[in-house]
Amino acid sequence: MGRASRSPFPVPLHKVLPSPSAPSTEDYALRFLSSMAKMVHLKDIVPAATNSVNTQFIVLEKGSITQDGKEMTCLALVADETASVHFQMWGSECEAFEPGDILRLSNGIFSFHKNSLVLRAGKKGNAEKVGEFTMLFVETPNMSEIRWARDPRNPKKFVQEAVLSPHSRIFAPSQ
Amino acid sequence: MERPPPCPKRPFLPPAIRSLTTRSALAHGRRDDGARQRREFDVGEWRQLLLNPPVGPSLRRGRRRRGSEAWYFSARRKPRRKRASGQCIIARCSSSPSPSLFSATVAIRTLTTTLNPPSRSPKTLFEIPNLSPRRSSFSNSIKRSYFERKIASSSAFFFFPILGYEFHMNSGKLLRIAAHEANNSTEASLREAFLLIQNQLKPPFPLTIPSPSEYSQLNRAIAFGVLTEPHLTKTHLTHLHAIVVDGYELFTSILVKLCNESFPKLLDSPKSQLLHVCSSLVNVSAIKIESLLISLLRQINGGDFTESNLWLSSELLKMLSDNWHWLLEEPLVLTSALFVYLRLLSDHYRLAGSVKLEELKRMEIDFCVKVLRQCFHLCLQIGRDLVRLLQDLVYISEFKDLWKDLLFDPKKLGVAEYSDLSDLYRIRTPTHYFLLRIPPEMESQLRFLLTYVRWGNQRRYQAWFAKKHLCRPGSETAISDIVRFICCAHHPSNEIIQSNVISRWAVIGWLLKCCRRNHFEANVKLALFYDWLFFDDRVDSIMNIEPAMLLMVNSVPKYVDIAHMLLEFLFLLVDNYDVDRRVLLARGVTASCHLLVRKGVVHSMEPLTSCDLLSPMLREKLRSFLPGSELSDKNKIQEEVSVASEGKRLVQC
Repeated sequence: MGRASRSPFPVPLHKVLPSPSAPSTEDYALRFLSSMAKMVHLKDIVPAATNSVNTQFIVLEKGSITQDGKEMTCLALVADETASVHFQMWGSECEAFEPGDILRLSNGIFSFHKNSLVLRAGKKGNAEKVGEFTMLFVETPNMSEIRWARDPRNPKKFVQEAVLSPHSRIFAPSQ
Repeated sequence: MERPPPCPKRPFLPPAIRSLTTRSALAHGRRDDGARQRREFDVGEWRQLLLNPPVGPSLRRGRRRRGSEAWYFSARRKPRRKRASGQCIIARCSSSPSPSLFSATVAIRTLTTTLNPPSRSPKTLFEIPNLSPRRSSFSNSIKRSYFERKIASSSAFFFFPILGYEFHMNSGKLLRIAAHEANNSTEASLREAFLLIQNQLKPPFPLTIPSPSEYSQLNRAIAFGVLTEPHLTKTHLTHLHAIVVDGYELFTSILVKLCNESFPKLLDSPKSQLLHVCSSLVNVSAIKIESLLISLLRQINGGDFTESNLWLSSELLKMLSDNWHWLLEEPLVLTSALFVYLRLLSDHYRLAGSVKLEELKRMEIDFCVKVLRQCFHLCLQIGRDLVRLLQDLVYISEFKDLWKDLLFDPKKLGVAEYSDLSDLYRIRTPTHYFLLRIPPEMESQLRFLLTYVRWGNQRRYQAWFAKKHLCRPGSETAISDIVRFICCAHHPSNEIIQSNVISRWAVIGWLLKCCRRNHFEANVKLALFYDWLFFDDRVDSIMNIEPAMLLMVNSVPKYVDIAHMLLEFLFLLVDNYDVDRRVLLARGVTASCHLLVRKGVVHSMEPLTSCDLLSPMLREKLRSFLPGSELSDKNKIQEEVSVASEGKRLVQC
């Protein structure tokens, strides 16, 4: 608290000062469309080092909440109509999301975290609840249960190498 | 309803400041005698006070930072001006020594209102209540807050900046949006309209005639205003009455949409505002007001005895009773309300509770009896489900009398069409009534389950559904309503029946297993077989009786106990449900079996009649209801069998 250089404003002024007018319906529509344009299905996600996954899925099951350093984390099984994947929730997300919730992930990242392949919002991304219940899903394939290898033609990219398990080995399938 | 707190004539300072006043007064060697002493403060003292606030939670929670400066002045010290105090402040602000600070949208509030909000907790004022992005409304908000709250007349003004944000009394929120939850688009569109034309929402209202798009915007803005600003209800409603050109249709449909989509999420104050607005729309007989009332009736959750749910049922009932004459001209609302409150009463009557609950029960009994006694000709529309609801209430003395009249003295009810209970049995209950006990959210989930979810995938959906709707103590009572809804109001198309989507009978089987108490289980089974008892293929739909039959036949291989239990219950019903009209019931069950086989819903009753696991007595009894036993002649059966083999499950909706 109270660093000498701190400005009297808690938030930088350019963020506080209002935009010329409230966002109009067109703005919302544009935002919605631009977010829709990049929406991908879970079966199409590929491990990468950047936050670029925009997708929507339903939470099937939640693991127990664990403490990871300062933050709480919680692993969850999520799925859409094409595939399932392990989703890692951070901090307050752990308590906000419940099985049956439909989440929209923007700028999420699908990458290795402590040797397991998980989808998460990361620092730049954002996951928010947009609905409940009314979404179809499949539990196979599970994108976290696939072994990925570097693409020989483009070493920056990953390609699927082998299926380790058709469904999550952490969360048992429902059938 | 929440009203703005009256502003105290003399600003009241909280104890901490008062004690400081006292101390300062003592330091100056004066006696503390209230407000007058406050003038004795010097700049340094006030600065000290504002930078290190002695009042605990309210100021410390504010956005004060070290290094920020605080301005204040006392109106009494300055020569009084006749200009609006809002403008006066602005003028002063712009000439203040550090204009940059004020060039930001700083919120200036009186110390009085900030420190001593009489009915609101200080927290609400500091918690980003309304972040208006519009700078132009800055001076307006100040003016408004002064004139409306009449603080202008108070003896002392103390102003200080709260950095960054501008506050309104309008909390600007309709819905409870949890952390990590997306904004609601309906709320966003209403709020957008409100923020854009906020300035036009107060008198004097312009006389210009709005264009269609302006009109729609105005309606949305007023809807948002009236729901979020309880202290300006009257202004907004006057405005609405002044501009309306479409019989309130647009306004009502906005409210209906909001109610259907997000009533459970509405905050308490908008909720009570919604009911208030609804009653004023009833007064002007707005177009579509019946949809709004029916939508509100659906929001009363069955088996939910929490305070807010009981409050909703009692407020709605009060509104309906107060508008009795209007109600008489709206038979659909009248009978819907009767249906809802009869059903609720059967649950409420079993509860012993607070004075409020007793009062609610009394009101429900009075309302239902009044409707039944005075408008029985309209109640006949409900049909046979009216009997099902009334039979649960037979222990209440008022209803006992009614039953006596229904059974033994039908003329007393004064309706020519009603001469016997069987007249009521014959009327099929319209689909509309089954929706009344299913809240919109539950309806959409059930319909999704029965339209899209494939066999084998249902387990998780069922668990989520149960967790959301059936885990509360007492919520089992809603299962019979759900079963009635599935049997009578959700009729899937032939494509869905033939596809791999989970069938209605399977969902009903699962719901049956969710019942933990016999009493509720019996009600669910009755709900399942109710249309069997009075089936008449001229008026009834085969889809209403299909699930029970398929559930019995399909549970034989694996769950023979369910088939056994259901058959046993069916025969029990035929013999005991209405002993005087046993023949009618037996005829109904025969007709049901007959039609189900004829239409090919089941190819034959063979799986049941030849199942060794069922007791021989049950099988024997079942045979007596089957086609060919007593009613049908053999030729007819053969003809029907050929029809059945041709068309697979050719069902009519």
